[in-house]
Amino acid sequence: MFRNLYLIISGAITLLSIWMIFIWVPTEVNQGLVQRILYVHVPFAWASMVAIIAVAITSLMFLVTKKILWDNLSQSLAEVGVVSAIVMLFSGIVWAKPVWGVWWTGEAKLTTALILFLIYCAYLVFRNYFPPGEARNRIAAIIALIGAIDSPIIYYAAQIWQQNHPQAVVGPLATQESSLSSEMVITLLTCVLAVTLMFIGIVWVQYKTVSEKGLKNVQIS
Amino acid sequence: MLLSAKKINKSYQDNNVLQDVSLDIKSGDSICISGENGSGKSTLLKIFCGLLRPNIGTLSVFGRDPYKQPENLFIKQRMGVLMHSNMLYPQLTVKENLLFFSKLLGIINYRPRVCEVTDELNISKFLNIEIYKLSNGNRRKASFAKSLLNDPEILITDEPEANIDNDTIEIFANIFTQRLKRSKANIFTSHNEKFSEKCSNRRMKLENGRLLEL
Amino acid sequence: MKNWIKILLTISSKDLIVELKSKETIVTITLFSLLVVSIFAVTSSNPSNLSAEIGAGIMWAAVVFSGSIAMSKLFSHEEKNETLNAILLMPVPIELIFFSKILSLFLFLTISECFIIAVFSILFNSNPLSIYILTAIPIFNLGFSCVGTFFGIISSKSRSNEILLTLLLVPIIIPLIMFATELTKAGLLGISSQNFNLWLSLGILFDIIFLVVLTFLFGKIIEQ
Repeated sequence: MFRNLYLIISGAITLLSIWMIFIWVPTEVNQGLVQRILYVHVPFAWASMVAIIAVAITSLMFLVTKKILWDNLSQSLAEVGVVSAIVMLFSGIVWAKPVWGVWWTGEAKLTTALILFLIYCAYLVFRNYFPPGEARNRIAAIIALIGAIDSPIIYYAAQIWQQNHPQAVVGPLATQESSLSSEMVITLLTCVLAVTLMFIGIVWVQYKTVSEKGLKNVQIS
Repeated sequence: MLLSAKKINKSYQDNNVLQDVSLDIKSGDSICISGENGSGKSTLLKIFCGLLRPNIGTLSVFGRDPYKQPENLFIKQRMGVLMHSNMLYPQLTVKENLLFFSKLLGIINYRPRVCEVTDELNISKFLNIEIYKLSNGNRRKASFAKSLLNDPEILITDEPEANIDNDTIEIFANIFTQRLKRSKANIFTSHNEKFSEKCSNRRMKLENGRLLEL
Repeated sequence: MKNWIKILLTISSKDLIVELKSKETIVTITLFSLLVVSIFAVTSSNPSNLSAEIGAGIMWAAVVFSGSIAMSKLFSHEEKNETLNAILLMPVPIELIFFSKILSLFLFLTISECFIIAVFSILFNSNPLSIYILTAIPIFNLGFSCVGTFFGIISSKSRSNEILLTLLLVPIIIPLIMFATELTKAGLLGISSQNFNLWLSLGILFDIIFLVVLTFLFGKIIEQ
């Protein structure tokens, strides 16, 4: 019952946000049509950021309480988070080329996002390579924590780097600041809401699959 | 009480290897644990020496907690362990291996002690040969020598007689019985009836994860 | 305290003796890094004109990848012969085991870096030796061997340990790689590095944070 209601509501909001992106919201003057990528980019960036913080928290909870539910939750969060990060990185790259004139630049936020993405890929690879069991779950949680500790240091390093190396953005619109109109803000918020609902939904489904798989393994052995 | 284990449970991915295993070892005990392959003998010994942690249950050795530093240093100093694998550096000679471990054990006069142990086990002639060049039996002897270096209060050995010729089994058995006379404790697993009869004064069997006194 | 140093030196000197007999780690690091550096030397049309930007990157890429391969070798040996368990059975505080491995790796890395710098300066006709790189090397090596020991022991328990170690290690030490590359670049260009103090504080911060945190967590990954 709850599940169907959830599906209907989040589906409706997603449809609404698609309508808003493509039809309702006015085109931005400076960047043109390309600016609409932002309505995908920002929500997924938000989702992957939330995922990374949530993985760190659930891993810590697992280390403290040793309850398997936290471990399953952090695995599903990391999986969905990595997918969101891929969407974020790809949409960002596609947006940057026409606007900044380059696919990629050494900007601090970009560098940090890329490296965090790599760390959480390694986290998932570890979960698949290591023999399953209590030790794997514990070490995976530790790796997630180390990643969380590392992220401010990465951001700090990327910022010093940025100071040394002036931005390589040379596109026609690189320097122009653009402000968002109220319609754009509303569209953006709707998109964030849609992606957040979708994110929670997928994490929930994934969490159930992961826990069922865990149970099945137990029954086989 | 040298070692006391209460209701130890250990499972690998819900495969229950040990269920409610309780055991008390007093000085002068020599316990032989028998059981089929895969009955959890090695797991039990690994838990006793601190390499594995039980899922449930408590263990105290010399009245101390083996999972707390620095209490466990006291325990490790008075314990000798010989597991299935020899746990020696293959690139180093027998002597280098034994000297290294006796330094870590904090033995003060370590050079004479190494000679003493190797003489006892009849491997003095291999002292300057690298482990990887030795036969399996001689490696086993070198590893056994390592576990005797600190003249342990408790000697935990997992199938000490594996890969060993009959003459040497005799030497091993002598060491075990002599330790008993000095009221030190042994706990070991074995498939060799003669050896276990000679060396043990308490015999036990692991069956379906439970420890039974015979 | 004195006792601690004695144990530390005992374990590390044992590592050195094993290494002197097998020569595996150092040979792996030096040969592999030689390969990486020579690929760039051979494929660039005029190695002497190589820009400092790319040169510094090449040098540290060689160090990072050869170092991580050598580390995984080192720890998979320990795992195979269960010698790490043998040390765990000894009355040695667990932190000392961690520190002694860091010390041994630190030495191996330093030796191979000297070699890489020599090869680099010959093949690219440049002189990377400067006060900057001399400050960068110890700070980089400390952090690298600290994180490397930690992940090396983790991945030695898995089947595909080389890949796993590299995948885990490289993203975590990216800040350290950036630090070392920036300082090397300044040395190659012969100018004073901008933000030298900032980079230095970053490198030291990284080392301190990871040394403290990983020492604290080390017991948790050893436990079985």
